Amino acid sequence: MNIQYKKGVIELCILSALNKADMYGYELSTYISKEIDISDGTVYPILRKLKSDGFVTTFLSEVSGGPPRKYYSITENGKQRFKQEAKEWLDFTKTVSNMIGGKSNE
Amino acid sequence: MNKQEFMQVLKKELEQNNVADIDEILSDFAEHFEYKLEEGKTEEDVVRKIGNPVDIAKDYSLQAKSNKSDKNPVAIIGLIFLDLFTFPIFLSMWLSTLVLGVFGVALISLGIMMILTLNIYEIIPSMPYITSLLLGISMLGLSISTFIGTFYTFRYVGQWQKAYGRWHKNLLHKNIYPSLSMHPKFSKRLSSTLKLANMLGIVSFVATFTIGYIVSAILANSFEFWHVWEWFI
Repeated sequence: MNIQYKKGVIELCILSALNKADMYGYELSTYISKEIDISDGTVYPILRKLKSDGFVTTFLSEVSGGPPRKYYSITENGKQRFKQEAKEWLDFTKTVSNMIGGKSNE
Repeated sequence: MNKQEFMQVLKKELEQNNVADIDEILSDFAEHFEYKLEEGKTEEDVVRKIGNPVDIAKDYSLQAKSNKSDKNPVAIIGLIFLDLFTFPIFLSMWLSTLVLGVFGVALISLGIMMILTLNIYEIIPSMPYITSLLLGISMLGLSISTFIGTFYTFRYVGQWQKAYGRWHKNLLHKNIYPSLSMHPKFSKRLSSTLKLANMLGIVSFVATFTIGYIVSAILANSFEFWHVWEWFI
């Protein structure tokens, strides 16, 4: 699949993951690249963009016997954004799948 | 390509693309390497899966550009007025830091002079050597805490200025960069070392100062020994 195409969707996937629980960068990277075929490093620029836009925040959490982990947490704005984007995505994919598959059977 | 080569290329590319907060970005990737290596992967494996550093740097610079918008004239005028207020505030904070540092230097000099009885310019009044020694040590103790205080003040004022600068920049260019924390980062080891040193400084100051006072009061046979030794005449 086209790389630019995937990047747009990954933003939504990250928001969705963070909507369930706080995660640290590496955890998000493995979570996303396990499901979607994409380079491990791709999520970091996207995380930073989400932070600049105010959709996520970060905090450091101490871990026993290791450096502190940088956790990402979704903000209220981020939750709003996720709701809206998720709905748009679902509507859009429904339309597209109707166009390319579903309706052609009729 | 190994980890070091990857990090070097990434750093160079980020610099060429004028991306902000390069250190933070690099530490995110260093963290990524740490976790992967812990899982038993080789550096080459991790680099292969992480993607091309040139493309990654481009992703960072593209998002900064896509957020850029026209400057807001009202914001500019407002900021000019605000800066007229904040400039003297920051200046006075920096000067206070300097004063604190100079105070520390004065304390340490006084302490050394008292311990070694180097009475330069006759600024130290007469007293028995035991008083001079104890109070000298107490001055050294206080100077340690003063220097640590100076260091923290320096780092905090620096961080505040950076955070203000970032906020300033973001207002002008509509949130290109993430805002910065108000708290400077200290490594765990540094901050625990400083805390310990600070405690030792304060404890040694209080202890030697108190003992010095008691010993002097006994020697002079007066609670106000400074009058007996005619310090202020």
